[in-house]
Amino acid sequence: MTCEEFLRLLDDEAPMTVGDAAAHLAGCPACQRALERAQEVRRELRAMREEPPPPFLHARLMAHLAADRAARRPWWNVAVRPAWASAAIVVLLLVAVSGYRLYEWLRPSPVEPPVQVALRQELPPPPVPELRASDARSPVTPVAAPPSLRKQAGAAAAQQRKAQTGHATAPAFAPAPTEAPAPGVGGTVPGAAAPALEGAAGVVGTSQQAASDSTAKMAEQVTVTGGTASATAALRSKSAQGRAATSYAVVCELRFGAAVVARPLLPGSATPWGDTVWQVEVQPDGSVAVRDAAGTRIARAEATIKTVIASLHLPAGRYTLTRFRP
Amino acid sequence: MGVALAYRADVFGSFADREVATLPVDDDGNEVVRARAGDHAAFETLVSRHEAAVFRICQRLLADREDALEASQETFLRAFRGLPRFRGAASFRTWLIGIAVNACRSRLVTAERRARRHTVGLEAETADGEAAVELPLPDPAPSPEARALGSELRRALLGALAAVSAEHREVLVLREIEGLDYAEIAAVLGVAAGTVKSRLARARAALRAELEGVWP
Repeated sequence: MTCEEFLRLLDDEAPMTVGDAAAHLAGCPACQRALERAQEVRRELRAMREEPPPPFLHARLMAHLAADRAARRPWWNVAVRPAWASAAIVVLLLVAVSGYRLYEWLRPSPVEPPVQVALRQELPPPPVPELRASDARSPVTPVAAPPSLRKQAGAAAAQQRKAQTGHATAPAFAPAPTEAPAPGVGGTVPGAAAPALEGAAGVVGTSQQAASDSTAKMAEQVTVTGGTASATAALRSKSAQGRAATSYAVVCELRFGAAVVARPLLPGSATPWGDTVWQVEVQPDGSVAVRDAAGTRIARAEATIKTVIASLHLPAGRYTLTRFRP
Repeated sequence: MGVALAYRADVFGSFADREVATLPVDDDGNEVVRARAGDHAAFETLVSRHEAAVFRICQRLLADREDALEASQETFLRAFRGLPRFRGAASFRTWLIGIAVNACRSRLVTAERRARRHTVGLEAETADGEAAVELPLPDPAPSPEARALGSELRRALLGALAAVSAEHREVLVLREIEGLDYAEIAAVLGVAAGTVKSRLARARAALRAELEGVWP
């Protein structure tokens, strides 16, 4: 056997006869060397099989497959995926909300949020006993007051409008004080008005009856003069001019700790403004001290507040007074 | 038996040896059926089982690691899409390796087109650093860890594998590294078993010739 033949057999994996190969190998150092090399190469190539793949290989392959699956998904399948669905809902909500805001902003005459206002001097004060009795039975809830107040405020403002148009003699303005209280207060009160109680508190006492009686007429007036918003605006502008006729009262919230004790109606001047809070200290003898957050005493409000809360029979203690925001 | 046969077994390994190293064909049957029915978990099992071999083949055929990763991705993607057409004439593994070899071939066409623009001898990699600088081409060397582990022979062998023709490289990788038998290689490459045999003999001779210069 020649060296060439031996190498060919080596490459070929061909079956070799024992005698031939062994005999040649024994006498041929070159072929011995070639065989050794072939063995080494063989081992080395086999060892390549043990080389570990990159650790991220599996993750990468699976990610590639997943990406392909996602790309090939039909659109309706994509559309109902939870992530997309929730995103679509969020977008729809945003569009709806901003659309409504835009609509509100673009609306020609935006209606202001209802302001709880009442004309003070247009309503005669009810008697204290009447108020007490109603509070004891509590048929007139503080919640009932705001709507009626609003209507009356609107109506009163409407009347003021009328007064503005012909204010030299102010004939339209004149009937208001007598007309408005007549159904509610006039019917129940025997005429003895309590001078200490503000007229505004009387509105709470008059309640639904006055409102229902005058609603039709007032609604008509409001419509004629352009709605609640313009009525409120008129009221405000008058207030700015410092006219006595425009002083108004506000529903306040009296709290003991976190609990709402009452929602009395107070004149604006005896009311904390905006988000400020007043401390109302009721002494055992019934006297009242009012302070603002800084501790400064607000003497001007004390008499009014004392009168109003006298009907509530509050125990001595510290209360907070804020504007009521429905 | 005689001395020569003992040498043969030592050099090339016995047929039985190879079978131990490769997976039994029937092992994939379950997963293939489930994956074909749309079971992604079953396909993932198949990926886990064969990813190492597919990547190894791609890396040896393409020499570039990133290229090999992409070819592996492509292989499994093609396999996933082609599952409905897989009839089980060959084993899943053989079919998969066939896809991998084809993916590598099409990549090599692109790589060779690039190589024509930057003709670099394979010796450049193993020679001094200057040549390596002008080497924007796939690095025929193995991964850094393999380089660290590898012997002088390993480096020489990788260079020689990259130097022989793609046709020879294919049969060498499938036979010597992956341990496929002639019938499997024939199925993978789509040629007759006899062709595999003769091609393999020529490939071994070519590899030996390449090693002559690099590996003393």
